[in-house]
Amino acid sequence: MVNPVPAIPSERRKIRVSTSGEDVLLRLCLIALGVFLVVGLLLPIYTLLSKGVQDADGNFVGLQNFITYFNEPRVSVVFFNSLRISVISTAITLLIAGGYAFALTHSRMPGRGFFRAVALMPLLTPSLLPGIALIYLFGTQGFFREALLGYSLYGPIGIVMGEVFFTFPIALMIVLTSLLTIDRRLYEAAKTLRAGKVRTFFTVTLPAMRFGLSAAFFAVFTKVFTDFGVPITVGGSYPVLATDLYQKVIGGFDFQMGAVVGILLFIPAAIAFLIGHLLQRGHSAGIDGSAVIYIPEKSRGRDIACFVFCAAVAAAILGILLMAVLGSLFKLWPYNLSLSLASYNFTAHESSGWSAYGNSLKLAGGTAVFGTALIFFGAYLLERMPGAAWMRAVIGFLCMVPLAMPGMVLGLSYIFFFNNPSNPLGGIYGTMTILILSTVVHLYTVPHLTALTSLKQLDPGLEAVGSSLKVSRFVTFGRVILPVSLPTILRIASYLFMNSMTTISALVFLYSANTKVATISVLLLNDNAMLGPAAAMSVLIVATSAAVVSLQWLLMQGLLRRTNAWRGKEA
Amino acid sequence: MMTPKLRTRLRLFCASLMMSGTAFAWTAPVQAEELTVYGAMAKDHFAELIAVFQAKEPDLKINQLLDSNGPIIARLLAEEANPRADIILGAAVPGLVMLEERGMLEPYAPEGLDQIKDRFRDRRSDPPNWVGTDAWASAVCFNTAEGERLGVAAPQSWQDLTKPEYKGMITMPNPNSSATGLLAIVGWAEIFGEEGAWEYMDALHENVSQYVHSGSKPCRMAAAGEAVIGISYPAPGVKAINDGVPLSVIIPEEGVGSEVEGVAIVKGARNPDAARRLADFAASQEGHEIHNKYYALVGRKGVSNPVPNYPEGEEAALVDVDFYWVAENRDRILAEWQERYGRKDEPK
Repeated sequence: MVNPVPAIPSERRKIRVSTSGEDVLLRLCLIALGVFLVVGLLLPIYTLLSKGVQDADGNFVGLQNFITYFNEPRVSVVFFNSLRISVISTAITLLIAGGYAFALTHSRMPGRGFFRAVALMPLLTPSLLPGIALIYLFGTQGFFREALLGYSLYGPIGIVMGEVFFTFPIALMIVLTSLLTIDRRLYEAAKTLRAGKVRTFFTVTLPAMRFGLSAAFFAVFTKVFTDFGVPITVGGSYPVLATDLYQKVIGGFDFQMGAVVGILLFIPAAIAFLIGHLLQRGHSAGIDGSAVIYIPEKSRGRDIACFVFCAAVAAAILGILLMAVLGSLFKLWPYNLSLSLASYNFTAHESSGWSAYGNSLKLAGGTAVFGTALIFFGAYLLERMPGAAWMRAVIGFLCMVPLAMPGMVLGLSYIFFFNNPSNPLGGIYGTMTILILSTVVHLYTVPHLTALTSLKQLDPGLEAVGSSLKVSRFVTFGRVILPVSLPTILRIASYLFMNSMTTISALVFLYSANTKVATISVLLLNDNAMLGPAAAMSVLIVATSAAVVSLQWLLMQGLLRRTNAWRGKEA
Repeated sequence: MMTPKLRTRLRLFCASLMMSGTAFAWTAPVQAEELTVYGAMAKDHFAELIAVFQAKEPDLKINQLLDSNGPIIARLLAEEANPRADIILGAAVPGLVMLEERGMLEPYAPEGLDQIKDRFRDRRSDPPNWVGTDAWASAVCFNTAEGERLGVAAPQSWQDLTKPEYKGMITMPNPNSSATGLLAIVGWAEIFGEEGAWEYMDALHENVSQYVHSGSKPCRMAAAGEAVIGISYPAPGVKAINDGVPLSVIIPEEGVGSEVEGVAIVKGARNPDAARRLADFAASQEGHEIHNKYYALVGRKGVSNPVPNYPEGEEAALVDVDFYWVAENRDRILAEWQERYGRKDEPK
């Protein structure tokens, strides 16, 4: 399968000699990818960082802005508010996601597939949606306001509730993966050694979950810390960094301070990302591909308990989604609850009307097409191109950076970078192109990793076989790699589409007269307390993402059946 | 080896990947004359103005962006080095003065300027940097159904709002993001004096449940029962009453601060001709008749039809606000406000 190590360099040299034109072309493509990341990521970040150490007239003032910011008496409050709600939301999310994942993998309760599907539904929603639904449920006029025992939804309670909903599927997926990798033989061994159920849980299950839980901790923490949608809807006057940044820039016209807050938003997110990344790396080395999947024994009591727990969680998720749908149909909440479609007549509520939805489709379509091509081909270059090792390492690292980059910070840095008259690319400011560019960069890392994983699975000898048949790498790419990877490409495209439909953070600073998108429309409607139309637009976004994901799933089924015959029965 | 045709195709593919960062544009090629309008006025008002103007100029391609006052000004400042807007419609005057002082406005005297009332135009410069179209004032929205349920009577004055019975029932726009919020404060400063205004706000703060982002939100929150009382302006309340919400719009006895909003042309506008034509239209009799449908008080002399359901006695209650003073003291007022009330939910 793989050539003995010493053979590789000689073979590489041979290829370079026989098809040097192709090699140059590959390198040019790699350089193009590098240029893309430098222009779309590094230079804007650099501009932002330098803004942070300048005064309004552009003179260098060192850390003066940071000192000013920290001298504001309320800054520590804002910072610690952000920290506090992030830790609390993360703890609650992990607790629920851990239990849910355990129930899905370690019980035989009925409806596991259904529960799994329901748990992933929040991925389809913009983070504004849970906030809006919570207002209907627990707001001052909410249907279940008594449940809060007189406490106000607006503030930490609302933010935590919304964030738990929003981040639950992220935590669940990570924990679930870690649980699925537990080898059944470990349980068999525990049983043979006469370990009790409790002891088995603490010595086998929990250690396996521990990695998943800690990885999930950092993923969820970053998400909550940088999220903007939930606090802007139900944060009341409880300030957090993300809303403070919005306030500073949009309300106070203070771009220097905006840059400072942006940098502050970036640091904890970056730390969490780094730790999470290191954890991942340390762990995945230990996973053995040959683990035998655990099949739980029968246990009625456990199954009932698991079922009740999962049913409660699923009911909460569905309740929030249904509340948003119902809310969008009320005629005049809370005084006239007869149903009507008036909220969907967007032209009557918001200046951009339906065109915002059209723009979202353009953005999502553009990001899916352009992003998928770029990310997959980029991953191919990084994973399977011969030579240029250091260049690949540097670009490979750049591809990871967007994961730690809060969308709002990216958006702000784009204003500074692209709307500079001396920037030759300034023409894209205010167009759909800059929205697509920012979204592709913002979402880059996850699909990049998906593509890498899938490309790694392909036999490294494919290109070698190709070249021994005197076929170029491009032909191998087009005839073998691309078709085999179609499921992955499809998954990437649908991920990009879905997330472009629901994202808001980078776009709040970048949309223009002609490119207002649906999530921005939701934000503006909510800012004006037009709850019904805001709910309606959110529902439309969810419906669209759901349709795209279903389409992807259907295509996948067909594709897998046709193209994956070679993988054998397991796939 | 690669076939030549395939190689060309792949080169094209790579080249297009390289180029896509720059050339991947959705914008149509420039043909017709364009005009980019940034609006900060009420949605219906803005839509009607643009629709009527568009009917006069069918060949003009109008790009419009409507947002609250704060975001529009923030955007203009962000784009200062490289302006995207040609003309600003309906921005509050303190914001316009701020832009003027940064040299971002192009002075222009629209046709019929002599017909515009004095306090509705930039008096420091001729031709003026901006021309007012309409004015609006603070108001209090009160949800009568919620008031009845909770057993509180409608407040009649600003001082009433500090009564303990309204504790936790009031919302107010955050002046840091909302011109309406700033206007309320400026009004209080005129009425109670600046010191008195801070004392008043200290007392009011005890009753406020939330400071919110936009100026119309407090009134809409009152309309939705999310709050009982919203410090806001009349228009959203009038609309809610027309929709059947049990709401009343109250002009407090002590008087209310008013704010002029107007039109201004951006310096460095890419389409100055079209911008001037829109400015002419906004200042014209026809334009003012449109403004008058939404605001009782407009800039042109002799246009003053009553607006249906608008609270009575607004004009009599108006307190004269010096917007130059506001523009000058804005930063200081906002910083002070933030210092005093920005940490509503700080743990004790």
